Amino acid sequence: MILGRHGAIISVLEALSLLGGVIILSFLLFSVVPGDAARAQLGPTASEENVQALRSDLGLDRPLSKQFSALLVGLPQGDLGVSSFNRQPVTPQVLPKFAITATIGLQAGIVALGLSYLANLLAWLRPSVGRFLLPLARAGVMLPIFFTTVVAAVLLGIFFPSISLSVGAAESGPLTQMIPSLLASLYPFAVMTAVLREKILAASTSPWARAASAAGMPSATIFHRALLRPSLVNWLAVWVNQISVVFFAAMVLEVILSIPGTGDLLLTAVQRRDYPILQGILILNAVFFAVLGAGSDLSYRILDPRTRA
Amino acid sequence: MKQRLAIPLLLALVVFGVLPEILLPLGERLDPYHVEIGKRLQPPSMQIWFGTDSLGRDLLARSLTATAISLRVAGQAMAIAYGLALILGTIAGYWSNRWPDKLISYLIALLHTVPFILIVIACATVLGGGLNVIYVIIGCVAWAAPARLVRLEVMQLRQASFVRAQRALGFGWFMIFRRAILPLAFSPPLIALLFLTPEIIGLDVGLSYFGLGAQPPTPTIGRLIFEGANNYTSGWWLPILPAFILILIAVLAQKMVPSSARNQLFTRQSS
Repeated sequence: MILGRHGAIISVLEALSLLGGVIILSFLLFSVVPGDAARAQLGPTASEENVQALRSDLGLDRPLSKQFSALLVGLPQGDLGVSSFNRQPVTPQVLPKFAITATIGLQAGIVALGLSYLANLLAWLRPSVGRFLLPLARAGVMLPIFFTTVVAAVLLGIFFPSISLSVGAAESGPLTQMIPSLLASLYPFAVMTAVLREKILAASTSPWARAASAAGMPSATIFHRALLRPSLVNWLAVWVNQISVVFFAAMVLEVILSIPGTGDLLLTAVQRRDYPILQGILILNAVFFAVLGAGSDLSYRILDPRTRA
Repeated sequence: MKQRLAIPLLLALVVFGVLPEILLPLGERLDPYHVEIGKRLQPPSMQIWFGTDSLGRDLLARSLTATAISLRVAGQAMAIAYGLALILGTIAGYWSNRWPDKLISYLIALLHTVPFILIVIACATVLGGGLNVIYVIIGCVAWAAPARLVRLEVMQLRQASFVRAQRALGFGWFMIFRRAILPLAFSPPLIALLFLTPEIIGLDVGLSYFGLGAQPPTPTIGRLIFEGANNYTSGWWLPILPAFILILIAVLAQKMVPSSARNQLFTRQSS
């Protein structure tokens, strides 16, 4: 039983309980705290009839228990309610935008994962290269996404004014589509390179690593078998952590580079005080990260026997 | 993680306590609100270091004021986060694997289920945003990572011989906390928070970027970047120079954390 006796079930239950927590808290935040979401949406100058009309339109005049059960019943069917601004269903408005952000985020995550592996492999095989490569990689921590994106936007605007970065835009090639992901991957790349380096160095003094090098194993084999293997779980845990940082970066750069993703939607939803849309974004993200969390829990069990206890 | 705390603490006090108080009057003297249409969109020069925006306002003055506000918000948020991390982390660590710990660990996991920026934006939208609200919201989110460290530290300390001895001598939990645990557990979360400075500033910048920080005409870094990015074609300096300040802050934050602690924090945050 590679997954342990109840490991898989527990991971899934944990993810579900977190999801439930997010749903309850976001209901409290958006439906109970504001007191009057319809008034908040229409502003203090709106007439009482208009507010009342919106209230019944959005179902805000129902008791809270009814509203909450409506949310719970709708969720499994993918129904996240109706936008309080344009009265259209939330899901079709949020889902495609979230898909764009998730694409950028996951691409950036995978790029960061691959590059941090390559940087560490290179630093291990060629210490002289690593001596300047690793500090350089680490400097990525000091480059905030706001700065890199703005610089990229200005440079693109000056040198390639015709490029559109929208994902799926017909005229953009695969390379230009990678620009947002590359920008977002800078910070996680720096963090993950530093973590992996730390773990590799710690493992390199271990008895098994010494034994491997005494037995004359080639450096690359030592790296993969004796050093990378015990570092995998920590490295991936940091990766999972970094994904949410990457999502933030993606939302920021979507606004600057005018990519129609979650960041874009967030901006208008905040301006319009459109609580159902915000709630939809929150819950969709929670689903994504709960699945990611459960998946990573399971992958640790597969990758590292020490976590199967 | 036992390292000397004096230098990081001093640096933090300077960056979050003294620096805003210097930058704010400096920015005010240059007058961030003074509109002069005749001098609009001047590129950076020896006279006007950061250039002027589309209304002829001095971008350096606006950036300085915005930086001061941002640092102040970050400092306030970190104070709240530090208090929460210390209290909740200690409770969770001392009663580990019982219901207080399970509850607090669940809360920490819950905070990590959605990207921080979304939680912060959602709360700020409902509560109305503005300077009086956002530091509380950021503080209530940022405690999660340092609290984990406190929890681990306290869990280890609880097994230490001197704590067991105190318990055997019949000391109450409050006495044990005060005498044995707090003196040793208070530095890791502080270092962790200082290490998170760029992310906490990032949350503040993100909030003002999405229009939830201090309201115009008060300049904020996020708004300066947002507005600059919207019309970067009229001047490259409009978004880039305010964003450059974030690099300076990130470099300062690096200096606040002892290098020996840095990599440990990267890893321990997540485990």
